[in-house]
Order: sequence, then structure tokens, then C-alpha cells
Amino acid sequence: MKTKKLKINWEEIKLDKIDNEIISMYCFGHCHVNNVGNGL
Amino acid sequence: MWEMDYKLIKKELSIYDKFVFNGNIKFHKYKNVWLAVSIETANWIVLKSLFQKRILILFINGKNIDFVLKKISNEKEHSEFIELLSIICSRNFGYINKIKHTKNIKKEKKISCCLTTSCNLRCKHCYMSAGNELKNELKFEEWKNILDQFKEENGTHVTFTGGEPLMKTFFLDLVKYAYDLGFHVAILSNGTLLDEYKISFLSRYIDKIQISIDGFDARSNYITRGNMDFDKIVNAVISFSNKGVITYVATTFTFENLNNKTSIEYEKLVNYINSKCNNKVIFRLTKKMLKGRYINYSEKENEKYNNKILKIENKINPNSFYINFIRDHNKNVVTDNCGFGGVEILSNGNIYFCNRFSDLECYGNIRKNKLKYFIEKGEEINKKTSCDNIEPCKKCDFKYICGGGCRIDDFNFNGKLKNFKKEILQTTCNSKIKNKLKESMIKSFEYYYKF
Repeated sequence: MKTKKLKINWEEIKLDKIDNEIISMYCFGHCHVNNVGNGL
Repeated sequence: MWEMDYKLIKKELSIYDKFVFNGNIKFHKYKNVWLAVSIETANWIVLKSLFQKRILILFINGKNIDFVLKKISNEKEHSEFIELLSIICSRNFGYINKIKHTKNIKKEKKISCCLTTSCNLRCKHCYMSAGNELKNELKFEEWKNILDQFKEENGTHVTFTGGEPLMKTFFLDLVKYAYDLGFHVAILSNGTLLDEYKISFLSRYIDKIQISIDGFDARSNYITRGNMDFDKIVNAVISFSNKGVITYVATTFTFENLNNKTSIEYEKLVNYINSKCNNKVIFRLTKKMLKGRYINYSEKENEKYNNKILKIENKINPNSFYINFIRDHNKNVVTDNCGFGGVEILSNGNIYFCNRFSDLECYGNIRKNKLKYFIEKGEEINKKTSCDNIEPCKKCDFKYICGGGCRIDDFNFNGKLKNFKKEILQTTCNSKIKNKLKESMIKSFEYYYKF
């Protein structure tokens, strides 16, 4: 039996480009939740 | 302005497919959208309409695509439905027909080794007030022994820091020793003691380096660091990056070298370094100043400081916060702690469970107990202070996305657990912070994905 197919698509940011970003630092870069969590 | 590149992802689904969801899913309405949060997997998606929410509930209840398709009555609903399928698949929020994996916590096992408190600089903001070495610092043979023990404990990552680690004559040999044991090695340095030979040597054995540049040019860097080696340090950054080492520049401004031109000038520095590098250099800006040698900002001053730093980030890339946010939240990876409990070895062998040594209590000395003892103690403390075990976090739908914040600044035990008898509480969370988190989840999602 031929199954009916649905085609979907989306776009997402290329990960390799992301590392070029400036990023925020908390706790001198050691902190495991760099830039996340509360109080930042 | 920084332009991001997007890639197109295509997928095909059968109408008889069902979605399987790993965690309990809760909905939170925020402004004009719905956040669907999978609690146990720290994952989320953003739904634009009540219709999408209703469809998602049908999928959660085990209905297949065909069942849902038959409920669709017009074109608008159909396009929202197709969009929802893409949304679910994009973040692996639900899997087709079977569960791919369950709770996923990062498996890296790290220690951080502060090799010395000795430093050739006297930076105004240094949180360790580094300068002279401690009495009885660990010797080369002792550090090697610690690394041997860490290998036995299946350790994976070692960070060498200071003070300035290059002040130790055995530093290069120790880095090679760690590499030969199979560890991923990262180092933190002020960059002033590096030369071409040391850069070439280290590049063979380290994964990552973080070098401090606390200004946008020689003068501005001098104000904070009292050192004129700016060009030399910038060249060291470029050399490491071009030799394939993941290179970070850490920048801590102070009010003394922050002015109206800082964002423009710092952007020039970022662009200059990136133009000289074939590989990626990552810039990190300190957003909260800890108490340091000559600097002790009040809460109000830190708020002002934070705003100034955000302006710099914004100038370079207005979306940097959201990009960082989504990058720091890998699909289905749980953050249940800030990292409190990780083993930090001070140069005299004293053990702490975060690198903010002066804010913490010491749990013993590596000369007296095996590393295994401290790793186990750290894991116990990490568990005790995990979001699963603290109020009010343990009941929060966002606990594994947030992680609970800093165990020193945001908790009632202030990082000191030894004689703490009361119930552990997170004390800084409020509705404003939760809304900020929701906004970050929504905006980062909307920026990262296009449907």
C-alpha cells in the first residue's frame, strides 16, 4: 500500500557561523550556565 | 551589522506517523504566543495560535497525523498545521513513532587546576588579587599525580589557570602530560608571557585557550591591567586561532575605561582580530563584576555596569543574547545546576567547589585525601543543590532550562554549605526574571528558526 507523504521544511541558523559571535560571560567563563539562568 | 546564514532542512512524514514525547508537556501563554515546555528534557517550542496548541494536545494524546488532518477545515488551518509539524521536528520536541533518548545530562567530567597565584600583572579587578605565590604550592610531580588520579576516575577535561599559569616553569611539560593522558586541555592566560615557541608548543596539546584583553586598544587595556603588551597579546590570539586552537578573548571593562566610544572601538578590535583569523575567535564580555583587588561594585553599580556592557554587545550584534541563549540550550540537554560541586584545586592543594575561592569554604587538601574523595564530595554537593532538590525550583516547569542561577549569589546558603542546617532556597527568582526567561526562549527560538 502506498503511504501518503507530507513534505515539511524549515530554515535554521548554520551552527558553524554562530561561534563567530560575541558571547557574554558570567563567572569568568567557568560557569556552566554561561549567560543563562536568572540574575544575569 | 552581523548577518546570520540559514540552512534549509527538508523532511518527509507519513500521514500514519505519530509523535512520541519524552517529557511532561506544559503550556505557558506569554503575550501573544504559547510556549510548550517539555519539562524533563529542557526543551521548548513556540506556538503562534490556540489552534496549534489544540493540535499539539491531540499529538500528545497519541493521535496520528491522519487523524488530525481530517479535523482541518480550511487553508489557514492547514498551513498552521504544516508549520506545527516543522516546529515539532526542528527541535526534536517530539520523535516520530518512538523515543530516541531519555534524560540527557552533559557527560563531561572536568577539573580546574589553579597552578599558582603568582602573576606578573596586578589587574585592578583581579578576583583572586593574584600576585605572589602561595606558601607550599603544589610541585610538578604532585600535579602529575593528580592528573593520574583524574584519569583513573574517567576524567575528560582539564583546565589550567592561575594567577598566570605560565609563571610556573613546569607549565608546558604539565600541559603535554595532560594531553598524553588523553584529556581535553584548556588554559586561561594573560598572554603576556607567550612567545612563538610557547604558542607553537601549546597549540599541539590544547583544545582551548582564553586570553584576557581588558580594553579596545593599548591605552584602554593599560588602564585596567597596567601592561603595555597589547599588540603582543592580540598577535598571540591570532596565532593560536590560526593554529587551530579554539580561542577566546575575555574582556573585563571597568568604569575607568568605559566611555561613549567603547562600543565602536571594541567592535573595531573584534573585526580586526576576526579579519586576521581563519578560525573562529570568541569574545566574552564580563557582565557582572565580582569583588576584586581594588574594585568592589555595589549592586547598583553592577546594574549600571551590566547595562553598559549590554550596549557594547548590542552594537556588535543586537541578537547576540538570543543566539547565545539557544546555543547554550542544546536540544534535550538538561541543566540542573550552575556547576557548583565541580572540583577546583587551588595551587596549595586546597579544594573548592567553584572557582570563586574567596567566597567559598575549603573542603580539604589534595595532599591529605585522594582526588576520588573530592570528586565524590563534589557530586554529592552538586546533587544536593540541584534544581530537583531545592525550593522553589523543584516545582518549576523551567527548572532544567534555567538551572537555578549562581549557588553563591542566588541562594540562601551563599555557596557555604558546611554548617548550613536550614532548607536550601533559591532566593532571587521572581516573576520579572521568569518573564525574562520566557522572552529569551521565545525570541531565541524565533530568531534561530524560520518556518
